[in-house]
Amino acid sequence: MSLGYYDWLVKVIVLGDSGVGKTNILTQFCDSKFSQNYTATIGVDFKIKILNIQDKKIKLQIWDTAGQERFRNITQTYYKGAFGIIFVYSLIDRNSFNNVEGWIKSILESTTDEVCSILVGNKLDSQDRRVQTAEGEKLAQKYNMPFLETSALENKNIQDIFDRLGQNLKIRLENEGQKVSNNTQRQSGQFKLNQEANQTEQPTSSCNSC
Amino acid sequence: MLMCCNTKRLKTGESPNRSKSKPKQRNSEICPMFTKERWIEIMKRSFEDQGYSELSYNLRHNFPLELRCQVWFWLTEKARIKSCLYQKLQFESPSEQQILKDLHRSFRLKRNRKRTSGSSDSSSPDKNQEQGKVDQQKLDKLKRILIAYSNLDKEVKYVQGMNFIASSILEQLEQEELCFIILNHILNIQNYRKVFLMDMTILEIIDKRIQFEVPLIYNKMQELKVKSQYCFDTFIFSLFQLVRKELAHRIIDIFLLEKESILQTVIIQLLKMQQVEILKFQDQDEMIIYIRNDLIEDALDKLDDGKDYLSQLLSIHL
Repeated sequence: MSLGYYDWLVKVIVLGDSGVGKTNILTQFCDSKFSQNYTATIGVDFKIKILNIQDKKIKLQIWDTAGQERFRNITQTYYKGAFGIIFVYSLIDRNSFNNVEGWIKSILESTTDEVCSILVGNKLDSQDRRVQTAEGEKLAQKYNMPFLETSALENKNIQDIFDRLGQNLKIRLENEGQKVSNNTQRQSGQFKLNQEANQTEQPTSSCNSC
Repeated sequence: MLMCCNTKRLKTGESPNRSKSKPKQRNSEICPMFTKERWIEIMKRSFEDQGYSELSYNLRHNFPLELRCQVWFWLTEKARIKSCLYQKLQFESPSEQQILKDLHRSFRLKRNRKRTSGSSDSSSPDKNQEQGKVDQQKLDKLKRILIAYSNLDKEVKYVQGMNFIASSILEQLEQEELCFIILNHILNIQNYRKVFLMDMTILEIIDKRIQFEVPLIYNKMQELKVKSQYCFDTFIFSLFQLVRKELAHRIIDIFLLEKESILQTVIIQLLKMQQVEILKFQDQDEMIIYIRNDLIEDALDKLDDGKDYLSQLLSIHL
């Protein structure tokens, strides 16, 4: 069962309106699968994946959230300790794009911690596009985050989401690592560095405080 | 200690008539086993005229599968509506867009199980093959049932998770209006609508029951800092809609009489059955993933060897 050695453990949450393809993106990324018939996510779902970024292994603890407004109170309890955020909208659902700023603001209101984010426009395979690429780019620029258009159905750019996010996480974590070595231990419990290079067993999860 | 046990029983909502201190066999000595004729006979009267313990026992251990439709109808007499009301509720609902989004993802279809528990470090492409599609007629019925409920209950409207309950009922019953009555009974009469208003006290009760009834697992969860919420928040919706439909339907059989305590009981029994495996975990993430993704199937696999696993899972004792 064990996923073995890793350098960092990072909590990532995936946010966006209902039906934009959050679960399909994750399932494509983690299990190389796609299904038109996945049941709707209720509350939250949870996946683990090791990401290799250059010489580092980042263990992603990914929380897939329900998009319906009613579940907002529940999903917000999972925001704490998140270090990576994937905001997803559907290219064929204008409302889901209009609501992205609401999701971004919900994060800004809930956490004072600096997070690595990425904006994803999913369902690139569909012919019925309602959101132009330039609009997504503009929104991503406004909040200073990378932007990708993807298709979970065709497995297009899915790996790129996590590679881009992983690159930024690595830079941030290395910077934080220097702070940690200077200041012994980070206080917030936001993430944890796996400092023993030859360790074979996993350290305790960083999610202890969430 | 005695006080503690009594408190626990009241909190879980189990019938006070059942003595938890007595062994399982004792029940069968007290409660007569209903024959099919007896079921037909008692259904001529109100279910409230029937002794609770006797009915509860027979719902668990002696359920007349061929009479399920009649038993459900009998148990839900309080939820019945005037025959014209269902049609009157078929008007445009503010929840319609969300209902439409969820229709196609309401029925749980069989897929090949993957034993990686949702975690993966390698990517071996696995072309997904859907093993069946839900027919349009059933989807249309589901839509109308959910629209009707969203218009009936103005406070809750439609919330994701209701589609799981309704689709599971639909898989048993052909009659759309009767499905609506059963759904209305679960949500309104048995007050499960509170869950859709995000009242999650049921998770606190599950946590307490784990503490008292499966203390080793409780201690392990404490050790790994695994909250019940992480493991069981989806169970309170998904137990109604399982790939193993027979279990989902048996849960509904009992829920119609006993409310949500049957969900707690099933979770406790699943944990008891997989206790050895669960206690081996040394990692928070893997424990959560196992409980969320594999617990049910692993437990049911164990019981598939000809035993009456459903009765065992639904029992107070195991």
